[in-house]
Amino acid sequence: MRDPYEVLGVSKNATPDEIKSAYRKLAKQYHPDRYIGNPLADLAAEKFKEINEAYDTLTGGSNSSSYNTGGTSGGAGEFARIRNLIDMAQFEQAEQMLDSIANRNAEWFYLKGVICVRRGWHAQGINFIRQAVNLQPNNMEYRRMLTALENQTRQYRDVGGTMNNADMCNCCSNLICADCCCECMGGDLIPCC
Amino acid sequence: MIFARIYDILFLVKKMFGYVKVNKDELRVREYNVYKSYYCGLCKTLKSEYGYFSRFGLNYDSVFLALLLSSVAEDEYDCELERCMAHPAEKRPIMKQNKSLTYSAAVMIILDLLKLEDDIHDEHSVKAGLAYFALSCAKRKIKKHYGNLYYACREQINKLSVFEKDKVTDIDKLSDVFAHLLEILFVPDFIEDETQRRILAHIGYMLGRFIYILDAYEDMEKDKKKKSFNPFLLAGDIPQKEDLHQLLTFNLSSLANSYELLDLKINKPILDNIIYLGLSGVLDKTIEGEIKNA
Repeated sequence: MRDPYEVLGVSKNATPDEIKSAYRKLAKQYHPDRYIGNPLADLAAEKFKEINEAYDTLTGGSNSSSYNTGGTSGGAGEFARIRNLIDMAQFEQAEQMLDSIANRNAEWFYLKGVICVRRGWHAQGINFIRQAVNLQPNNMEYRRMLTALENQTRQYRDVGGTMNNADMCNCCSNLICADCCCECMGGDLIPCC
Repeated sequence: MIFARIYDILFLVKKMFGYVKVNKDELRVREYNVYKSYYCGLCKTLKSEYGYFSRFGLNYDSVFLALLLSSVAEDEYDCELERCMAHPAEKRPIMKQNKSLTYSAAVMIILDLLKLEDDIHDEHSVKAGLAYFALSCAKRKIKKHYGNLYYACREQINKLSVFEKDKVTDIDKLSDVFAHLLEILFVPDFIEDETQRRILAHIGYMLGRFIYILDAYEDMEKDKKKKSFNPFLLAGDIPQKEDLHQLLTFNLSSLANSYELLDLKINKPILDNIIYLGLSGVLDKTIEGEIKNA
């Protein structure tokens, strides 16, 4: 097992708070929901597990968030075989089998969508999954997939947003504001201005 | 005089790419200098490996590839200060040639050759013919050292021309071919770790898809005038800006998630900048530029 400090990217003498915030950041980054539909989901899951184990080792307990991947609902004969093919990344074969099925129920649309998304063809994929959700609104698996997919674009933009160094500017302007306020009240926060 | 002309021509040809750039405003000066040293290093590698003319095709996409591979392969950061023809006034830090630079240079030449062959074949372009002639030495070298890679890419391009001939308008199918091309190019032999190779392949795939779709959208006006192949025009179904924006952001998000799985040893801040700010910036600009024209 790798050094838990290294896994979380903190120094050996990090405070519990530092460890916690590093853990939270990483756990968010590699959360399985983020990798729904991504062909590298297995790698992310491994990383997620490693982070959780490291955190548990450092905090001496099982404080990490457990995550239930929710198991697939299986489905009847043909569909189960198609699910297997998708798991093995044999999309073309899976798609052929799917296309030969006449009974196009919610599961059919869902699997069609999953194939598209796994290949990176998102627009089509989301539409198929939406259709599956419409046909079977109570199916949690379909719903989870749809929400996760819709969240993914927002998360990407969020990271870009935090990379603009707006925090530093805010920090300075906040200080100046605070100083002005203090001066109004007769005090002074920053003596030189 | 003739050199200047050829320079012009090659410059035009290379406009095909150039989507993968840094957002300079958000980069630290130190990081920007590293970025530039890779750019200069790649230029120098091109000259020493493929001769004078190969350098005119230099683009930022290949610099990205060099940075990325360098980071995964943990290349040593080794620079020297040198003058060059483009910047005779001052000495600049130039990254010394390493495996990643050599490979990225080869990839760049392969893409150049494919693009030129395509132009010669489709448009009987004299310009492309001249440029191709200027690169004939480079081609021989590529075929000798990177033959398999070249023919694997060639195959994808052939597939794409068949699709174009058959008037396929399904953007997913079309971009899939180009995406496979970049997927092949993103996995060099010197990176041996299977996990890293898988991740790099997926990044290449997603990037290829992104470039193909964005390029097709951006070129609509031009293709309309020239009556060349464009999937959006041919389908007569020009996508809504919001839909396309959503679709490509999705694409980038998937790319970024895979990128986060890579074991990066160096250059992470620069690569983060390209992935999260550079690419999304190009996307916004390209699609919003269209809004202004409408």
